[in-house]
Amino acid sequence: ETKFRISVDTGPNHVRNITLRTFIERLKEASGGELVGELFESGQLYAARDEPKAVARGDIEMTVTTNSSVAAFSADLNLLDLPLFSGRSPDQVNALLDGPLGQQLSKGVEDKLGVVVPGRWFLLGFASTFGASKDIKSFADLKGLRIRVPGGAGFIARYRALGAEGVSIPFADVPLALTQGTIDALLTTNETLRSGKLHEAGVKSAFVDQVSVLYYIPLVNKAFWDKLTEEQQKQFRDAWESVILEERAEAMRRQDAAAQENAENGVVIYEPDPEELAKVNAELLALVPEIAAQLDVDPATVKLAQDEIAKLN
Amino acid sequence: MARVLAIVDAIEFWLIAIFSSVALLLACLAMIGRYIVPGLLLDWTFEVTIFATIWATFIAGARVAGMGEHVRVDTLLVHLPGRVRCWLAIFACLLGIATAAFLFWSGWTVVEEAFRWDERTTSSLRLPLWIYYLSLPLGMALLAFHLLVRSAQLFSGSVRDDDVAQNH
Amino acid sequence: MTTQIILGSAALFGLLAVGVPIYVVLAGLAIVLLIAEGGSVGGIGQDILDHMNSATLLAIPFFVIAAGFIQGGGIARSLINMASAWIGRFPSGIPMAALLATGLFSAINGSSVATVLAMGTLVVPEMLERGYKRPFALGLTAAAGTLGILIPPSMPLVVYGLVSETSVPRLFLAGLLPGLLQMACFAVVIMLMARRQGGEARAFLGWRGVARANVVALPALSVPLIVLGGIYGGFVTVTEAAALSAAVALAVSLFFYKSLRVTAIPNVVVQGMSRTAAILLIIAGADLLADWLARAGLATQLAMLVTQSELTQTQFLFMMAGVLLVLGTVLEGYSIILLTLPLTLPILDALGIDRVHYAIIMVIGIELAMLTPPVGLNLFVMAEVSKAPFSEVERGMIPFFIAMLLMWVLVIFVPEISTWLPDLVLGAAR
Ligand code: NA
Ligand code: NA
Repeated sequence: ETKFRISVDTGPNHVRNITLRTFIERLKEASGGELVGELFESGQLYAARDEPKAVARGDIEMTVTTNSSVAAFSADLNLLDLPLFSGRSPDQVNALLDGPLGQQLSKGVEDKLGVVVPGRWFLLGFASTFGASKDIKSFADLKGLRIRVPGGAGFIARYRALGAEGVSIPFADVPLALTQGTIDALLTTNETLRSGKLHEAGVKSAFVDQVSVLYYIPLVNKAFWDKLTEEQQKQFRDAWESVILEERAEAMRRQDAAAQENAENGVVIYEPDPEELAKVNAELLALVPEIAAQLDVDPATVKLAQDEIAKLN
Repeated sequence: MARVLAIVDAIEFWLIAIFSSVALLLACLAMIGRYIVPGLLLDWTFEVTIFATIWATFIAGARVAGMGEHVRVDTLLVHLPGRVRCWLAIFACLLGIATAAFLFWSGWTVVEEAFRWDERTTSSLRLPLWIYYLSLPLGMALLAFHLLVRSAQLFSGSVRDDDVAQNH
Repeated sequence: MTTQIILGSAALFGLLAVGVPIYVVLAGLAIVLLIAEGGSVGGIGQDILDHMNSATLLAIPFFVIAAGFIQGGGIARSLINMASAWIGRFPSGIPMAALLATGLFSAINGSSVATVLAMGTLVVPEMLERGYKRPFALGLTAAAGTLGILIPPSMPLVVYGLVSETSVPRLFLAGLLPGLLQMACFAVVIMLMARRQGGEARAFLGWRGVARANVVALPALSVPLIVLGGIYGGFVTVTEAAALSAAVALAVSLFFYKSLRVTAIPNVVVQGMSRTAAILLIIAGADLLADWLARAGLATQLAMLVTQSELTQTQFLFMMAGVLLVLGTVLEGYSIILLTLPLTLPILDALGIDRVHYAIIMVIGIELAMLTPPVGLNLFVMAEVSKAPFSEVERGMIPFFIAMLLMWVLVIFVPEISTWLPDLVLGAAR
């Protein structure tokens, strides 16, 4: 029997945790009880930021962590913060990341950190702009607002182009900053808004501008992986692949349910005018080379992404 | 020897003062900058503030150890004769040196790995994190140095273990 | 595992007893245990560095430096003189003022350590100068410093909110009444004790004297007013408030009271940083030990023991209170929340216990943990700030600790103390 530890920073009810438990179960079954995963939840062991290193060192055997925490090592992952994907549905971005683009990004992570990415990525959902101090009904309403972004200079540059100021304050400061008006809005997902009960901190509107799609990337320690037999590695990959579509469907379902619950809590949803959305996203594309250079994204990767996106249209 | 120690102390003092002041000034700059020049991309001030603070912290922590001022439980100590206290203090210094030595090794590993993995911050500056991490091995080297000096002083009798409590 | 616990505890108590500095005991012990558990060499240093890379810890040295400016720059003196003019007639006057100041400071920061470091720098020297006995002054300040995490803002409540999916504004509102209740309890203790602790009634200065003390204190009053206004007016975040308070305190000391010379600034800064560093090293050691506990799953097993036994609401809450007390002897705030809360949440729901109510129970448990040996951060902070023997702080804290225990029981039995205000302002939780 081989035990391995998986660490995530979300609580037991999160879609990531629930799916991981299914994965552990299926892998145990497929390996005839040989491969036994143990889930450490709620950030008991590590914050998201620290998970990739812990796996690379072997302090834990596996994590499934946010694309932004992996981007600290593999700059190409900053690609996901670029306005390239803005306005794309999760289904479209999923398709891109399941293809050559995603494979190249995963390969980059493997090479950089010396870890194994055993398969496709979990989906969290798309992030949009949520307004507190005033309702955001159109792109014009963004002008002059101070908006909290999750890390990333990519998002800050985007909002600056739209006349708003992106600030990256710690998430722990967000509820109070919203209550007191230190920030006017934030970039996040419906599910994060719901679980943080941010409507009680003053969030009143959702502007569905679909800024970015967020993912969780599976990382496995290389030494642990190499100790497995080829048979076991295959069982591992198969068990992982078996939960991917369920996870993505459940993530989408939860985001929809969260949007509905937020609406019941008084968060008014504003859909941007499709023509305006297309126009703004097209304009933002001009920013891509500049931000990509600033974030050290390989131009070849940007090119690959652009080519793949072109195929979608 | 006393001259060397005085010079080390002065260098440490000014490093702590400079790092702390830089941290404070940057934090204020971020606050004011938001109102005066809203367009300025100041997303990096926070992490530089943290970098400066951690450097100040580790240097100050080592310096405090040199003065024998780290907090300890003295409930039992106060009832012991001076000689026993002195030996216990030397023992404590040696444990401290062992801990510092391990953390030096450990911190150095972190620096090396961050260098190898090219780990960077998420701001527009994309600062290399080994600059931040380097504070741990250097702080621990400084700590070991101070503890070594102090145990020599305790051994030779030039300082007493209870000097601190009586000075304040 | 049992062997590790027995050997570990023996080493912990033994080394502490023979006077090995606390940071060495905690870090050294944790390193041995983590290596035995299969942890990597680099991972241990990384743990320390990652824990320190946080906005909450960043605020601590700033607040302490601010307190240094306030204390050295005449601001504290003029504020205390003002308080003394009003209530110096009563033997309990100055400790009451200290308690009030601590309550106010708690409203601008969310950390117990920052509060007790800053207040230890500020009010303890004033109380000693006015003849109060040292254990009393130290014990009061160590215990009152815990208000930092009960009176909003509060970092442990933020972490609780994140883990339990409870809204942070609701939790902050919930902490307000219990915070005031704790201040009231302490006020009673002070009134009962002050006279025997060196508190002396002073002659009333007359209303003219009161007026003059107030005028002199006006610039000093601007420090708390600007910082409170900055936070609650939405101009600065909680993290920035620390830097703001240092800047305002420095400006007021330099330009109004002129009792702080420019050449003295580096000294104040280095002293503040040194005090913080001494405590941060202890926190780093405590974090390492907590990491080992997380990996070994000990706290989790203890919590599971309680959550699996079939208990009524009240029985369960008291059992958990016991668990919090036990864990609190060696663990600090965030570790306690992260290690026990995820397991506890389903039971809370099953027994129909309000998560907001439990949040306050937990935070008071964490407050008590800051005061219990062997690892009680507030006790260490007071010993560090005052250079007084650890045992004096411990002794002086006991009456206040007992008052907090009684308050805890009250808060457990009467959920409304915690839930009434948030339900009133935000509506009942769904
Ligand atoms: Na507070
Ligand atoms: Na304790």
